[in-house]
Amino acid sequence: MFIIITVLIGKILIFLSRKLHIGGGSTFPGRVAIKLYPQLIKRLSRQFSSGCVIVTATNGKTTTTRMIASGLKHAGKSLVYNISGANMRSGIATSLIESATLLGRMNYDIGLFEVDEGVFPSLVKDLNPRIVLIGNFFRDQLDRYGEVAILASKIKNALDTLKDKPHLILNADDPMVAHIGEHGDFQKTYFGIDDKKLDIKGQTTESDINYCVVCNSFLEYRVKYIGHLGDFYCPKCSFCRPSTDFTAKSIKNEGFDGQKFDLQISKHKRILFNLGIPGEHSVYNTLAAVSLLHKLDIHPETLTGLFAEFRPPYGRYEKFIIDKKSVYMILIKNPAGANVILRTISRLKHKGSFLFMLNDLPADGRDVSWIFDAHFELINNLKSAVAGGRRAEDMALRLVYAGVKKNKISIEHDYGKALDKAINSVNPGGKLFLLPTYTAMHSVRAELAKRTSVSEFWKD
Amino acid sequence: MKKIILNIGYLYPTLMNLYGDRGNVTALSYRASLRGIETNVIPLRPGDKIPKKKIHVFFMGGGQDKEQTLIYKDFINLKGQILKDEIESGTAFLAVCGGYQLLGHSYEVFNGEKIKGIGALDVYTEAGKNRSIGNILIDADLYGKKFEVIGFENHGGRTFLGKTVKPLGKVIIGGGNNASDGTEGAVYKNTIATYLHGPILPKNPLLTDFLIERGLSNYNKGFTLDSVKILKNEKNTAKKPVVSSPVSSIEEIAFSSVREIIISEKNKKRELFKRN
Repeated sequence: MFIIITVLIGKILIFLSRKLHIGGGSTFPGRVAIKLYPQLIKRLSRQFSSGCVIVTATNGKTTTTRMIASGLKHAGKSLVYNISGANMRSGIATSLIESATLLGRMNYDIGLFEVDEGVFPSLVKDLNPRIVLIGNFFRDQLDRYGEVAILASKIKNALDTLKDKPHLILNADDPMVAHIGEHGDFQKTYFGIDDKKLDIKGQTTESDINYCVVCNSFLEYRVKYIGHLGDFYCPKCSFCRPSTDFTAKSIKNEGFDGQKFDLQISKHKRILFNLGIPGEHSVYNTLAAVSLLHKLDIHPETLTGLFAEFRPPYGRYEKFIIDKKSVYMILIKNPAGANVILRTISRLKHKGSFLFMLNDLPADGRDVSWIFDAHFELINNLKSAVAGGRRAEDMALRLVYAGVKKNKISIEHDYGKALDKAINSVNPGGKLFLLPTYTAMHSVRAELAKRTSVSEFWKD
Repeated sequence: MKKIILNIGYLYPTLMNLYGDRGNVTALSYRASLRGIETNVIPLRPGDKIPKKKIHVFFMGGGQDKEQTLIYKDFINLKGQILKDEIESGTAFLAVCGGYQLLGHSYEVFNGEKIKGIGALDVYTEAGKNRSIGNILIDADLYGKKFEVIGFENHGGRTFLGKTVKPLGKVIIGGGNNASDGTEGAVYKNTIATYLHGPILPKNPLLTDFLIERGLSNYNKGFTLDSVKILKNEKNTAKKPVVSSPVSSIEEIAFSSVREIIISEKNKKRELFKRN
């Protein structure tokens, strides 16, 4: 009885909050519903005929989840998933309520949930997943999440205490993620990259985890791709990168609009994948999605066409055309994520025009110090840069310290004016890289909507 | 003119590297380069010996608990005595957060266990119940020179100063050393220790210049930054500014905008408090 009333109230709140434009309606109704009936998530999520799947990571979880969702839909599965990064308890509750019948029934095959790594330990018990995918652990908003090592061990402990052991899909190139599969009674699938020409060893000093999770010695790397992701081994003990079931090889960068790589599945089986999005992180996201879908009996061969057409979620390589200029909006929120994007942009032949928007609201992380851990030096030969957001001046200072000439930088706090200024600095046919933090992304997207046609975000 | 080189000793760059503190090294290099001073950053990792009488400025940041335990033995056994001697002999040193605590007599970890520091600074640290997290504004007094300093603090430790050190400044907004006596940081000879991230140096260039000047003059008596001419590069900022403000340097622009944010947040809180 409780469940029916809660679902009904939740549905009314979803309707109202969207009608009245309060918070997009993707978290608030769920928050109220859980208060009314704490068992809600448990009761609704246990009803999926093929169970639940959880995706967590510091970076890339929204994109990965969306890729998995498109694969499932393509295979004719019906699913419920949390859209637009509403990945806390309240967001998951909202998406469940929205899909439930008025009698509190879930008539779907699969529940697919992107889960914030901080709430993962408590949420995993309620969702009782059949498969758990862990993409990576990077340092992110230490004021909110705390230390990476502690976060990883909390997730491992939570998984160890589950009665029904989920199948784990793990990134073999991330020592802390790989280690989660080391012990315990788990079935697991590992994915990773194997492509020596993409080595960034020696080009970077940043690293979140550079010691062995088992014996605390310093890890060595044969190849490094992003931050601490790579072919690692401990010189003192036996801990090393596990062998992979799904491997990306021969990655070929094709500018900012795409790349291709070979997916090696077994010794003799390779499949060519085309992607419409650049960067090694996109390869990792694709590998993660392919590995997980394979576990659900959806084979990689059937996904190549689909993933070639894949459009990322909003704010992640989202492309807008304004005045015949391409505007790429890419969310940046932590050093590792920013670095991989800056590196991808730095490989392009032409000097870029940039609009950086740095905010310091709670959802961004109050501390903007992290911009000094990001390698803006990689793009210091840029054509022009506009710094916006609440902490625009901090951003401008960071750029100057990275070696950008002062006369190429301007500061503009107003979102609309900053956008116009940045667009004006681009030649017709050229590219603007718009890199906002989380809350700035929402604000600047409203400005983009005025200048082009983009959907409001809950419509996805 | 003889080329001037600034040697920066960067302690544990891949382990004690929280909250963008590496930006302090970037700041030292940048401000030095404005004066045509070359910088040479020497990483001092576990196992690396500190070259004697070579380093002008040391920098050590804080680390996550796990990382801090990984460097601890090396710091105490291999580097501790040398660093203590360097600090005594007037080498410039910037220590932030965990680095600050390790230079003191002792600090407590979260479970209350007391851990020895190297005692180069007359301070000790207790574990606090609540973390001090947020923007911070202080009134600094550095050997008689008075100026404001801003940053972001994020620490659970409560540090108390002994008699032989002076605080870096008085807290105007924020927690500071221990959230009780109104002090922030510690200054001893040419060493500045502080809880401020941000990172601290980029937006507080007077501190950067202090470290460069004191670090160099320690080996070249009478050296002052005023004696090296500022390259065109910096003077030119007046002509082609990054913003409408025509006279300020980029550091000053960033400083005043963040200062404004800190003060307006404080006022907002006060408003809320009054209404309630």
